[in-house]
Amino acid sequence: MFYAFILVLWELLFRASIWPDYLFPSPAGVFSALVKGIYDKTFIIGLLVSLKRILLGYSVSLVLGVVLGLLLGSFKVLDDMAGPLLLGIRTLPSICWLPIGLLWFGLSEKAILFVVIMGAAFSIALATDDGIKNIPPIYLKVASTMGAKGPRRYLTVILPAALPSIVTGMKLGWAFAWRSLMAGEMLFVSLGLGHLLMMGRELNDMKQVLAVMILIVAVGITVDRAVLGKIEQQIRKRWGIISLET
Amino acid sequence: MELALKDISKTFCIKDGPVKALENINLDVEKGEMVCLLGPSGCGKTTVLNIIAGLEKPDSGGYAAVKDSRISLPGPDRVLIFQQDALLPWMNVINNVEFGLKNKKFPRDKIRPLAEEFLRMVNLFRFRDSYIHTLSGGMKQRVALARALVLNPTVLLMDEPFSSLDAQTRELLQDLLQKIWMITGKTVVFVTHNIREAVFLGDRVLVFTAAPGRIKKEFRIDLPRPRSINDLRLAGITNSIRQEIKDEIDLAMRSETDNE
Ligand SMILES: Nc1ncnc2c1ncn2[C@@H]1O[C@H](COP(=O)(O)OP(=O)(O)OP(=O)(O)O)[C@@H](O)[C@H]1O
Ligand SMILES: [Mg+2]
Repeated sequence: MFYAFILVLWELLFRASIWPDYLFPSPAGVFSALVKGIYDKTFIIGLLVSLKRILLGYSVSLVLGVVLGLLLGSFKVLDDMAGPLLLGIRTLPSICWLPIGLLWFGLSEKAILFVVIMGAAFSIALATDDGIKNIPPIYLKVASTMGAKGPRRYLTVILPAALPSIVTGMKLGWAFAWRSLMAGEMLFVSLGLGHLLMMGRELNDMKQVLAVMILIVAVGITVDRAVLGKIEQQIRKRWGIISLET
Repeated sequence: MELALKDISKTFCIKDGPVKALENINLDVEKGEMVCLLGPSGCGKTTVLNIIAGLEKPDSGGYAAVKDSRISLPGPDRVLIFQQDALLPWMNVINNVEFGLKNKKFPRDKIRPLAEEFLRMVNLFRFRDSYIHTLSGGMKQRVALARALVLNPTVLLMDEPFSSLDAQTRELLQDLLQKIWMITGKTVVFVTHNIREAVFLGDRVLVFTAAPGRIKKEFRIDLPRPRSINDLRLAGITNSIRQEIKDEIDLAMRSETDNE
């Protein structure tokens, strides 16, 4: 409903011809640019390139984040020392890591991955840490009385008990990772969606810019809602955590 | 002696200062005996079980021992069953029952059959693949019972295991526990608020004073087994115990409410 209203408003503004066509295209124009991009495969390639990058970067963040979070959550000393630092780092917009990335890795694939990983890993680490600290004590008592020790204690009780929080961190991490990837890709000939956005700008093709933006939002939301959101819901249901949101 | 508590006291240090929860608890439990601990809220019943389970340490001077070896750490020879929600929801029913055996490095091929045997004992074999959030409260406590019994503990510790269930389910589970106890001959320490439950299940009922908890009185229940919850003699004993501990309950009520 709301979206239909926006579309109508957009169309009306376009008809009113306040701004020239090339700065303010019609919804239909943007839609045809989207279809064209998909047909001539530039969008598909851009999408695949970006997805491949995010898959790699996000997986590394996940592993790094969970391991770091496990360490922080398990050793109070580490937590006391590094916890505040991590909280500080998390407030840093992830694109601020780009200069370091560029200095270390040059204008390359690695620099982009570095930014993506830095953006996501810390939120996942903090969520894991938080999840471990807030495990219902009864699960730890069960682990002890049932004789779960060492690595088995982590694998069968601590990690699963912290999982709801970890998944929430993964959602946050995803949002950061996807944003920083787009920012990183805009910087050079990276072939990804961010690059297509910049190409649109260079060609003064507003239709393409908007079409790519729609695509970026679509991917972001799909992963957040349809993938991570579903997993989160399933876990919360099975873990018996009543969700406050509807 | 299967289980012995010697001069156990427990003081918790909280920020308002020390809180004495238990004072000089002495208790000997024989093999195969079912002992019920009865007492007002906050008198330290859970603390006693935690000390036996090794989750909590008594003040120096006292100790707890199982089969003459002093307790210092938790171990699968003393399994604790909690009031509620202590199953691991990321595992299905059978995996919950197998959990302790896997931790113990029990022979792999014997784990599944043993777990299934105990699920049958609590009449839940049909639900072996169910997830925990799909079970009722009574079913969950039966899984918890199977999960504890499968480890063949020397002492089974139960902390108000049926208190969150409705009256009907509660009676069913009390009956089931009695039946299983008669088959397995386990040594059990059972904590409850409910006098009738204590009298129905216990060979002995120990009444605690209000905090700090001490053992105030001991009742030996000499009714033959299997007992029926509707047995009139049971009601008689319940009433006489209720009369005797009335003062203690009044005292506890007063200490837990603000009006002087
Ligand atoms: N970890 C703890 N830290 C501080 N005080 C505690 C702790 N555990 C128990 N206590 C205190 O010790 C006393 C006994 O507690 P406990 O839980 O053993 O009582 P209980 O008899 O099991 O009560 P209920 O019937 O309500 O379960 C209480 O005053 C309680 O506040
Ligand atoms: Mg208690």
